[in-house]
Amino acid sequence: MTLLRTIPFALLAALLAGSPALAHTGEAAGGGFITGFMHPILGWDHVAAMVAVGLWGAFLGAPAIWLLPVTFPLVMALGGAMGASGVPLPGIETGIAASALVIGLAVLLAARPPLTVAAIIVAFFAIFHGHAHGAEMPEAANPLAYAAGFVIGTGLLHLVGISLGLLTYSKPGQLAVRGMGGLIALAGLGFLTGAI
Amino acid sequence: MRKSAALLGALLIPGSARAHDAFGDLGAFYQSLLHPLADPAQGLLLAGLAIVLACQPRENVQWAYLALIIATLAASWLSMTIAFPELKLRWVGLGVAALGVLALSSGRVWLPVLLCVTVAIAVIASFAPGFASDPRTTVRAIWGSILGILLVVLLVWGLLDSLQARLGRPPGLVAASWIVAIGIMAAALPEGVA
Repeated sequence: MTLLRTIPFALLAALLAGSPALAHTGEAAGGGFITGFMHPILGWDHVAAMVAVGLWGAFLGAPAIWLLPVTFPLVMALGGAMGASGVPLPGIETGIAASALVIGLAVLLAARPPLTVAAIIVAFFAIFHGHAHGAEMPEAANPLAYAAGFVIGTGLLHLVGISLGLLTYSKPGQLAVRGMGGLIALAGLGFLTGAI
Repeated sequence: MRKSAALLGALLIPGSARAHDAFGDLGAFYQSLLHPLADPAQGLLLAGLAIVLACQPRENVQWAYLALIIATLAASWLSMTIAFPELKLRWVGLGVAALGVLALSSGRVWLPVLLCVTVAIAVIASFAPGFASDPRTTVRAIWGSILGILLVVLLVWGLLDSLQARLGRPPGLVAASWIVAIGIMAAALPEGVA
């Protein structure tokens, strides 16, 4: 019990002591579709958060299983639009890392908030992911193809999460999914503190 | 066993590799056929239309596809005589986002509205490729363009329709949300970006 009580304080201390990994420079994005497609797939912080969204959606069941992957790109687009048009957003890296931590924890703890609350949590973090992608979009050789690539890449990562999340239909599968949530939360903590 | 060995031998003959030595000039027909894949603006508008159609009942889709065929044929032949101004990325983005919103708004789109949307997209898509001045090449390019437009819409609609038959409405809604996201971001790009 004492150990459980000390965990939040230890977490807070770790967060205050470290600095998030700065993976998004906002510099030239290169080509078009392939560059955009690979951007979320090659960034571990994006991968962790996107898979977590899918896992959580599957864990919550219908209609969250499709509502969360629909909400995410819609709100991500707003963040992307902000990034593309040069509107600054503070704490992008922190927001992205925190998304993996929070959604990963939600899966680990089997959190079942009302659907609206789950959608708001996912939508809030989607803005940070969108901004990170969108800021690099105007530099792409073909921005429209770049946008299409990263939206589809993000969506496919959600589908990976949903596919893994379907394991929750069995008891051992539920444990496995919650374990994956724990790993994602741990990775989020690592991104947040700069350890990864 | 002998057949397999003969097949393997035929595959290993170096000459067979020479069949694909040219990826440069595909010819006017194939270039126009593949244009929706090479031009994201045209491809996304057509994909957006297909997603809208996938969210509609089949009896309406039949009429809309017929309208698409007629409008594509008419607009493609018109494109030989009329020059169409190039659409700005912002307008393409807004159009794509509007198609996505139409698909997301669960419910049957009134058939006349669906037909108008289909005709509008067919016209915009048909004027997209730049055709050559040589009449023979132009005719080949136009046939390629018509076929490309019709195939892209049919394939995307077919894929989504078969997925929705198994999984319900979610695949269509997810695809619509992707299209809206792409459209919004394209519309938000600063003026002057390609």
